[in-house]
Amino acid sequence: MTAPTTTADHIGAQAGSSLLRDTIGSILRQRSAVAGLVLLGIIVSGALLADVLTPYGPAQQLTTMEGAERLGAPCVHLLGCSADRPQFVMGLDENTRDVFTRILHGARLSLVIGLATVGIAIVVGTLIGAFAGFLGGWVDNIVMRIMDVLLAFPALVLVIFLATSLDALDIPVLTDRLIIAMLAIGIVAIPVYARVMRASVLSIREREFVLASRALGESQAGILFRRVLPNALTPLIVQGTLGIATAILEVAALSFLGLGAQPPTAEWGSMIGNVRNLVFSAPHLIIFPGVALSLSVLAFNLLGDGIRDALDPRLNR
Amino acid sequence: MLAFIGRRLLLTIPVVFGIILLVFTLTRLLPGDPCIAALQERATPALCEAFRQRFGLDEPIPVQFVSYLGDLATGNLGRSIQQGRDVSQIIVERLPVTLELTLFALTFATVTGVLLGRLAARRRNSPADVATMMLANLGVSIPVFVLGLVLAYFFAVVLRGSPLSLPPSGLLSPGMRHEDLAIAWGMQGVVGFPRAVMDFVSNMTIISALISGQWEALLDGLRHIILPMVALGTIPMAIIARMTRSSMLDVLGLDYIRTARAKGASERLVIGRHAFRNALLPVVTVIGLSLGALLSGAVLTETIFRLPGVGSALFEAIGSRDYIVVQAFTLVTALVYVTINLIVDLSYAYLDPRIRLR
Repeated sequence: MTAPTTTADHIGAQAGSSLLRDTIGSILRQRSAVAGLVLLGIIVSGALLADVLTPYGPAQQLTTMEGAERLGAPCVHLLGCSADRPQFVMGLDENTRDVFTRILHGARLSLVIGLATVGIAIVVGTLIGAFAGFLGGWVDNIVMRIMDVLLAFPALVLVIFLATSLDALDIPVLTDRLIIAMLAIGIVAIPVYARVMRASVLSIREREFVLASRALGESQAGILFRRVLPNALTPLIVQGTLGIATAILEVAALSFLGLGAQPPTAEWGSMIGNVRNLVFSAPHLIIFPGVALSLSVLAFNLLGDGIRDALDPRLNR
Repeated sequence: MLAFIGRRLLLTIPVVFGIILLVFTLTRLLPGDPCIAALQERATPALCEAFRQRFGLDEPIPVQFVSYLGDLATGNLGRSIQQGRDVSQIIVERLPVTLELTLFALTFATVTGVLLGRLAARRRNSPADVATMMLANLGVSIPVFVLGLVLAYFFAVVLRGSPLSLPPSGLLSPGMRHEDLAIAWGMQGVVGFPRAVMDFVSNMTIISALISGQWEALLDGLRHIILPMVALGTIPMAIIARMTRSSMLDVLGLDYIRTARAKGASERLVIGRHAFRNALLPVVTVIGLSLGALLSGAVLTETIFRLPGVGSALFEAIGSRDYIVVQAFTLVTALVYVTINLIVDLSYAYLDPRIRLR
């Protein structure tokens, strides 16, 4: 009996590593996933190397610097801007700060915001969905009806409402509007993950391999975390990646409306919102943060679509 | 069908109840004494006591909730702290602008999205398909406020003086005359509900200009709505294009399409008559869902293009921390959204009998 076991173990180990390799391989075969990863790579390196790429700080006002004027248009020496002027690839903003520096620092903030918000929403949503699906009955009913109510609002409208309410409540811990905005966006995103998780729990709960592990005496928590969760990972990862795009968009929209990040924070939405009346005289203050914002959202959208196409065989045409 | 409508209505009731309960709860949690908000410097303790009794604020919370439901049923949404006017009055004044904008954006999104999606599916993997899908990916990724500002800059500044330039703000050019319907139709004497309806429609500039034959105002209004319409409609357009494409591809792979081709039907007939109609079904759902994006996006679009709709009223209310207005608008928007989705669901069931028989 020894030999077959070894062979089986061997095959199992090989299958495990090649499964991962297969998965990554099939994701990398998706054009959109690769495009998303490349874009994301550029954005992440820009965010990480912000301090190396520019000599200025995100809130540093260059009022005393020679040749730096308020609302100054981009000046790139390679593109014919005279060499005796200081170089500002994306120009200067309404407080004579370097836009390029602020864009790079904005990338840090947006990436952190996107990951943190979706992270919170996934953890809470997954737990809610798992318990609703596992317990069933009236708990399931009540919890999922609450999720229905949250889904019945247009997302941004509910986010605005929650953010203004949380702001007005004056909760001691929640004084930073950006944190409030993230919390509101996270709460609004919870139902999506709760639904995904609950659906997985319901479809997997009665499968033979789960019954088998139950018969072997595995605990409920063990079944949940070792049997059900791994099987729910694919839709959670897809939803989560697309969710980061939504979260970045919504934080930017809230900041644009004055409900999220406050000046002088280098946040793309707030950068655009502060100067929206200057669009006709200093368009570079809108266009560069706008492009950065759109490309980040695009990167996560492409990546999410690519992962879905790679991992969901029903879509492979 | 009737049974289906009944079932669907019953499912909506708890959701609507939940929406109202959520808004009510958060409203009551908020600090700020409504008495002081309403009476301001005249608020003495004795007056406030009388005020609370009069408005039932000393009643237990469940009683308050019931009277809140009663208020809603009679259209009483509270009073704006900032403007000192009834919120329902503000909504009636401003809703027409938002409705008109949403209608135009939805039409733009649906027509363009369906045409692009159909084109992409018919020429699958052709350059046209790739270009359309790249456009759609970009379209869902550009925030409404960025697209709006860039469009405003491009059409108002870059193209200034050319015949393609478009106005970046407002409903009509300054000085452009636009008569109310009651005046245009010589019905100033009409009062009551018919007059209210006329005044409501009058605030939809383009539609009222069209039905009362004010051609100059109509043209001017159309020129003003193009940019906000495109800014607001692009995200739903992209979603609809993607949905139409994948739905068309699904249908084109079915047996009856092969049968139609086998019996010698022309490609035009196969696509236009057989495939397209059935492919539209999932698109209907997406159109309903994209209304959420439209209602959300209206806040940003109206702010950028200075349109006096409920969205810009919400923006002003956020700025002045006028919570009553924010809550009322949230409630009204959510109820509009739920109603529209109900209608979409019902029309879906009407279009596809399999749904209601399930």
